[in-house]
Parts: sequence; structure tokens; C-alpha cells
Amino acid sequence: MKNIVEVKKLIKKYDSKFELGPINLDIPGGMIVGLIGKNGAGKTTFMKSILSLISIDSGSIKIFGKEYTDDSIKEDIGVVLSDMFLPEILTAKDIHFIMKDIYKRWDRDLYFYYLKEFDISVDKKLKELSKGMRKKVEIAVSLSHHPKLLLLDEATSGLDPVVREEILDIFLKFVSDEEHSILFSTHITSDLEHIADCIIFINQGKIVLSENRDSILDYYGVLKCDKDYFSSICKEDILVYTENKYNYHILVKDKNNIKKKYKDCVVDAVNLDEFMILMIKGEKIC
Amino acid sequence: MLGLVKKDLVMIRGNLKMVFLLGCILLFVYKNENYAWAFLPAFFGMTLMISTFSYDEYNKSDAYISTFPSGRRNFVFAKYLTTFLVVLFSSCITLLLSVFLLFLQEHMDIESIFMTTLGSFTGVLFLQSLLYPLFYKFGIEKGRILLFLLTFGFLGLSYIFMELSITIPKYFYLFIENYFLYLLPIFLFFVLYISYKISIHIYLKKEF
Repeated sequence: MKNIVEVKKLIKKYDSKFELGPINLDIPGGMIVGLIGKNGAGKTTFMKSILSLISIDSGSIKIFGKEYTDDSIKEDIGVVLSDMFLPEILTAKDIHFIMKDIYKRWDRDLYFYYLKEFDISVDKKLKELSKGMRKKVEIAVSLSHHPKLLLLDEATSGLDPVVREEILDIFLKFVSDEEHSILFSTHITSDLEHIADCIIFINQGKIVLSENRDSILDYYGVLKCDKDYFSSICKEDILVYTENKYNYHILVKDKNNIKKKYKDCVVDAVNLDEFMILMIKGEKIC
Repeated sequence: MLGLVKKDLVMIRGNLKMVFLLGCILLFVYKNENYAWAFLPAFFGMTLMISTFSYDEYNKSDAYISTFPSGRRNFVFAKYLTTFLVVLFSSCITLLLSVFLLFLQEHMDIESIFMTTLGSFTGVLFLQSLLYPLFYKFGIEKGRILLFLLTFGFLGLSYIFMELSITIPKYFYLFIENYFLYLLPIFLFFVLYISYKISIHIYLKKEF
């Protein structure tokens, strides 16, 4: 499968001592890659690097096999950025009037189809729309010039569950032909559980985990036990653990075997939220 | 790039009613004040263009627009082009108003009106040439403060010149007086070009 995005040894340093990278990542066609991590982990910085909104200190980024030598590459990239969009005094109709001269492949019919699907009034200024409605306009714009790559930063925040599901379906349809890809950064990890093929977990500027979604959800588990039982658990079985007032939560690999091994304990399937919390807050046994 | 010009024009359109109303009031107030009103349309044109920077900054549109295939260079060029067109259009309104007022006031002097319009056109574009690099570098709020300081710096400098009785040499004054109309477009083009180049330099390096 051809890679749509290739990131090699990307490093971005800030004066505040925050450093992103080195990051290596390939996004093949037809894939939805989910980026997770806590606030300030480097997800948005990574997105901005790919969009060349910030300079990088070293490494290379190739999109559709080309380096960022000219901006025409952006013709094939659809973008939804967190809290960044066109001025809110514009209406959805104004945006069409502007965008038709920005993108060569701007599709008027598709844009107005999405607006109709999302039930958005075309004559209302963006500032008169709710946050969720504005987000829908952003998504409509990002899809209406037939991009091959979608970069989504918190694209579903502010949307109700019904609309989120509709939009996730649109994203799934978008990648169905294996020539399109999505890089999706979000705090609503349940969205990624639904649609992502691969999960990238960034912490303190580094990729700490890059795995297939199903592997994470099927392979990892959370073993819950009390303090006495905890001391009897094999150290090799404990990836990380958190301790609270009444019990211990232990992140384990190969949960089916662990279930057999520790029959007296509860071993639950892990969701991405729990996984992220345990990976960030959890302690390792030295 | 046309899309970016259209973006600013559409944003300006939203404020036109207010500007028109304000313009009518000020025109009424200043109608007998030695063509002071002739400065108004160009001034409003400048204010409207500055408001587009505010909207862009408030909505972080600069970053979003930088993801467009038109590129950062065209974004800056579109801003300068729109500014020029808006100020030119404003000056045309001044001339049209002058013709209209000419029918009402017999004592009006066409040459003075023309010179005032030309002066305001140049003055406003000159001011914007100073402002835009500051806006791109420091943002709209800090840019405005810097302009304020710059204006007071110029005034202070003029005051010092006056206090020290430094006068402009007569031959220089005569040269300007005789060749003013010819020098003005060259001067304006030069200032705009330098300002544009500085803005491009700043904007290409900008991180969002």
C-alpha cells in the first residue's frame, strides 16, 4: 500500500524546553490513524509540522511522496484545526464564494449537500451558529475540495453523539477506496475506538505506542485487585499500575492468558481512555 | 489568490452600513471645513482594512489560511492588493462626492479637492505601509501601540526641528512643489514595495 504521509526523524524544539520527536510515522492509503495523548503532549505540534505551519528543526516530511517544496500539495489536504477557521462574520454561503477561488477542485454541490445534511443555515454568520454547527461547516469545507488526506484536530469536539456518528461514517466512507487517509487527533477516544485503524500515543513529545487499534483493545487488559493480591502478581505481568484507595489497576498484555493465570481477579477489557490514563499516570515496577 | 481578496472584501461588506452612516454624519459636520471631509473615505477605507486584520487574528484565520494551496506569499500579496483597491475606491468616492458638492457650493475649488484626495490616498497608503509589517510581526494590538508610539516619535522629532529652527532648504521645497505630482506615485510605489517585502519576510517565517 502506498504511503500518503511519511515522517522521518522529525524533531521540533521550543525554547520552553519542550521537544517533539524524534517522530517516525508512515500513513498508508486507506488508513485512519488516531493520535492520542494528554494536553501539551505534542499532538497539535505534530499536526502543525505536517501542515508546515511551524518549522521543524530536523527530519523530513513527505506527503504524497513529495517534500513541502510548494504549496500546491495543500490542494489535496483537507484540514480541520482546533479553534482556527475563517472569520466568524462570514456565512456558509460566503465561504463557498471564497473557497471556489481557493481550491481548483472545489465542489459546490458537495459543499451544499453537506450543509443540507448537517442542517446548517447558509445565510447565518458563523458567530450566530453553535460551536457544534461551526465545526460542521469546517468539516464540510475540509471535504468539499476532494482531498486525499484529512488532518483533523479535535474535529468532533462540540458535536452531539448522533452527529458524531454521522460524521464518523463520512470519514469511514472517505478512506474506503484506499487512496485516502486520515490523521485524527482527538480527546474523544471513543471516536477512535470506532474508526481508527491504528493508534499513536504521544506523551511528552515522544511516540510511546503505535499499534493497531484492535491489538490494543483485544490484547491489553486491566487487572483489578487489592493490595495483598498485588504483591503476589508476577512482576513481568505488570506493564504499569495505579494505586487508589481500595485497589490496584494493572495494565497487562495478553489479557486472555492473564485471566487464566489470575483466576481470582477481574481482568477487564481496556478502552483507550483507561489505556491512556494508565500509560501516563501508571508506575512501573523496577 | 482571488479567493483571499474576496475574503477581505466580504468581511468589509459587513461594516459598510455603519461606515456609510458615520460618513454621512461626519460629512454633514465637516461640510464647511476646508475640504477636511475629503480625507474621510480614504480614512474609512484604512479602518476597514485594519478590521480585517483584527478578524483574522481573533479567529486565528492566519493559521487556517496558511493551509490553503495559495500559500503564505499570496496571502500577504492579497492583503496589499485589497488595501490598494479599497483605498483607490474610497478616493474615487471622494471625487464623486466633490462633484456632487460642487453643484451645491459654488465656491468650491476643484484643484484643492483633487489635491486633498491625492494627499489622503497617499497618506493612508503610506500609513498602511508602516502598519502592515508591524501587524504581521507583533499582531494587531501591539502593532497599533507601536504605531501610536511611532506617530508620537515623528511629532516629537518635528517639534525638536521646530525648536532648533531647522527649516527645509528652499530649493528642496521648490523641487517638491514643482514635481510633487510626478514624485508621488514613485514614492508610493517604493514605500509599498519595501513594506510588502518586509511583510513577506516576516510572514514566511511566522510560526502558528
